[in-house]
Amino acid sequence: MNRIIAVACAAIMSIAGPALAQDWAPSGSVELQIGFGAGGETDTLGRVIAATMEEQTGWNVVPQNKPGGGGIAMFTGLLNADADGSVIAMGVSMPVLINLTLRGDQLPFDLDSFDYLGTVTRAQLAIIARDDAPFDDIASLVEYSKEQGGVPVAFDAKPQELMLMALNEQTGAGFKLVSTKSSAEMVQFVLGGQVQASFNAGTHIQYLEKGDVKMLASANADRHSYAQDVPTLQEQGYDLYTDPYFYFAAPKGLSDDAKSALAAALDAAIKSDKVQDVVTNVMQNSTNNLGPDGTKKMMEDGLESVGDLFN
Amino acid sequence: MTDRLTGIAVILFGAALFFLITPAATETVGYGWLRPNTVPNVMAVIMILAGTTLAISTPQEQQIDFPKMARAAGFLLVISIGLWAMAQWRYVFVAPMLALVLMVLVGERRWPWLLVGAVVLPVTISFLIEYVLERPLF
Amino acid sequence: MVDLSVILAGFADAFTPINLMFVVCGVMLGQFVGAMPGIGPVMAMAIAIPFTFVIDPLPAIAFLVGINKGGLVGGAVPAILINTPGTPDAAATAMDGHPLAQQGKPEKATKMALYSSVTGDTFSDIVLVTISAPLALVALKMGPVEILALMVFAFSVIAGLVGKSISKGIIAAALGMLAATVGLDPEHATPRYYFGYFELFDGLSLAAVAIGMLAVAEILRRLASSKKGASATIDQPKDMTAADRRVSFAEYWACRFTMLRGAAIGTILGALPGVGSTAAAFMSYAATKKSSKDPDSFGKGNLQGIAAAESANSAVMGANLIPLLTLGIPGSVGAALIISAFVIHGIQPGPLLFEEQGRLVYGLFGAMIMANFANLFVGQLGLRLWSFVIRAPESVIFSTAILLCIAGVYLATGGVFGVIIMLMAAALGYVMTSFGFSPVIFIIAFFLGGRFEIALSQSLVLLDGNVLALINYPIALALFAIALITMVWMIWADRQKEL
Repeated sequence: MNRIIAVACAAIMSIAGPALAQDWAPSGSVELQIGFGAGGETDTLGRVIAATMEEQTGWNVVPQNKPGGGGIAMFTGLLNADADGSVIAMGVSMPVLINLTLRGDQLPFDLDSFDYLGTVTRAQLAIIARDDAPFDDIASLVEYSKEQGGVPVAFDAKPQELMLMALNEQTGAGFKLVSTKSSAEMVQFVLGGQVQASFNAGTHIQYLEKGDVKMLASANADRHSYAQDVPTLQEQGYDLYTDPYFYFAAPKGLSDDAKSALAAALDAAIKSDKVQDVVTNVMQNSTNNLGPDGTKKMMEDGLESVGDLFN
Repeated sequence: MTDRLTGIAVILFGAALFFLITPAATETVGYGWLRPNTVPNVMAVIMILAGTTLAISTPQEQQIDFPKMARAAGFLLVISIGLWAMAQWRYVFVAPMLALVLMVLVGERRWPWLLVGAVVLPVTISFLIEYVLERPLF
Repeated sequence: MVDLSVILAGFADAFTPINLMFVVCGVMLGQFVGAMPGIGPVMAMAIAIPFTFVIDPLPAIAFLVGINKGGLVGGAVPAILINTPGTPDAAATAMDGHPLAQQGKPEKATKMALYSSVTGDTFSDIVLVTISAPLALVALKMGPVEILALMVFAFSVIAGLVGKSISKGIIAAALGMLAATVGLDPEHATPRYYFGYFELFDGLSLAAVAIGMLAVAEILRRLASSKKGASATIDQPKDMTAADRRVSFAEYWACRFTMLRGAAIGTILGALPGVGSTAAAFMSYAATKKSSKDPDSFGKGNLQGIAAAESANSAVMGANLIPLLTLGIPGSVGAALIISAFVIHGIQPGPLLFEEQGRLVYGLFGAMIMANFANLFVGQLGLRLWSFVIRAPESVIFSTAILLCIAGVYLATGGVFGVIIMLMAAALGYVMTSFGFSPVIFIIAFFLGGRFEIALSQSLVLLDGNVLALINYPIALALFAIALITMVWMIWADRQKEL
């Protein structure tokens, strides 16, 4: 056991970098709620950030899973939490924006119900196919699908489904929409030949390196860091994209001190090597903190563009 | 007789599900093969059919211990009140009380065992979870 | 394929005292936590992951594997001793394990569970180490249509457990399936039956429903029937012979075919993501009961029943790592947690894992083998402890058990809401049992229901809703045919018995 303790101390000391000058400190522990269950990529990310914050600030930061509806349950609960900096929440933008668009009247909150603290990173979403598929971009996939009378394409979230429906409408491709539960399942279906193409948010990258799959497009607003030569959907002439962010929010009405202290603590944690490493490992991406105001703007713009997708 | 009444209850539930609950609690979608209400409706129909079979077939002998069921419901009530109290005043304070009440209700009077069950074990559980594992509990 | 030197280096990395220590610690923790009603190995792993941040990848993963494997053994303990399985796969173990314990032979029952669990586990580990790559390629060919057919086949086998009244079995299954539809529907992601509670968007928590129906309902039953001046939880007569306390080699050897079948079922279902250990345990149990010369002895403390359930559910764990290590696809929550431990240490499971991290993978295999032995030895000591613990009076055991269930479900579901679901499930489970409906059938349908609806949705899209298009799916057609034959054969066999 001594060895573990020694290693732990060494690890902590190497990380405890910038000592943060704080005007504000939480009165007790800070609960970092994660809007998803244990074991997923959001959970992993949230826990590492909580651990890093704790090491850097000395606050007691406790991660707590609050799964339900891609964060809807957590944000509903957050409405009743005290706005004293004792609770912050980590969610993903898309499920929240989609639910606000589709059933905003049933939700007890809107974008203005919370204070925003920052973002961690953006999920990179690709459209992939098996390497031996007879098409290399979206236009030739559409052509192939027309020839075959409609080929199956897999998705695992609402924005992806909407993009496929929009493609069907714009091009008459006749894609058959196969709903799945995860990127891993979609890679499996692509490799197994059950679908001709699919979306993917990271699982595909190793297969790309190995040459088992190829990437047809980036479904984000920009190209992906690991595949700079693959154009986006927009660049290929389809005005469709989605940019899901991992972001932090807190109950509305934080004092300015508390808000800036929490945002600074999060920023320091997100900039740390440890969190950078995990983001690289889990998302194949680099961190990208938009800051409190940038996050608010990202959510508002996102709500508008999701609204456009549905119309 | 019990089986006939159970069968009728199942039929009524299936019908309520099909005509009232599912239409109110699912959204209507205009595309796709498997609609949100497809599987629930199939289950409702299956329940109506199987309930009918149960109601009209020869009943099997069955004894239901209603006094025992009432006692179980009483214990469930006690536990529910305990849960409510935990949400108000934390697990660590309420768990020993709940354990003590349950033990006394089942007739435990030996104080060493009451001490173990109502003090040592509940406090150990909450200590392990809240302090050793650092997981917040209520 | 991987170089022999890499394999040897990997195993050499694994067999060090420090790794052995982590494995043994993990197994001890897993067996202990697994034996707590309401708290299972999955939660133990979720809690342990942050502690592994600061240690090297191999001991970290060895520790988690130890917890997972130890938990499989530990999970059988409350199922057998007090009939409160924390997971549905242990419910299959309880079916014969608990009656045997009630006959005053708790040690014999738990030891049989330990031996068959380790046997099934070792079988699937051997399959994993030797032929995981080709097996993963076969698994890739199993698309939604094939998985759907496989689930129908699983249902047809498990239907053999339906009991006396077929219509009650069907009603219980339909209710379970209905409970599985709560939450977002798989094809359009619209919420169903959520009644304003957004926690229900993700569906009813599996842990809350399983623990409520199987464990809390049983605790309520025991509390309600306890007599004044409560006695020991299980009477262990003083005049027991040594043979009543242990499992002789002859008894173990008599179960060899049962365990082999269970291990094979568990390995196959484990290699296919999403079907899971519950189906494996019940399929193995049902198949063993059907093929037995004396099916009436099941449910009354038959060692074969324990062996069937435990060998199958333990084999699933090793086989879950086949899609995980070769394709990066987790087959269960436990496997998903192992993935997150990998990625935290900068290792991405996937097709390149064997090439880039071959040494680590074989180190992991070495750790798994160590964990199996550790399970056996720790189990030998631990089971003695448990048979001692249950000499405590019922009043202490069951009031503590309910506290553990509340704490466990609170942690697993992240709030009071899950605990309320657990208590509601307990009430439903109690009422169902009283009126002769099997909660176990409900739970199996509930666990498989979600996955079944997804596979059905995906299959309908792929087939364009055209059943004739099945002709393009020979594996699925074969499975459907076997399912049909199984059902006809079982009905025919039942008729024969009645005549």
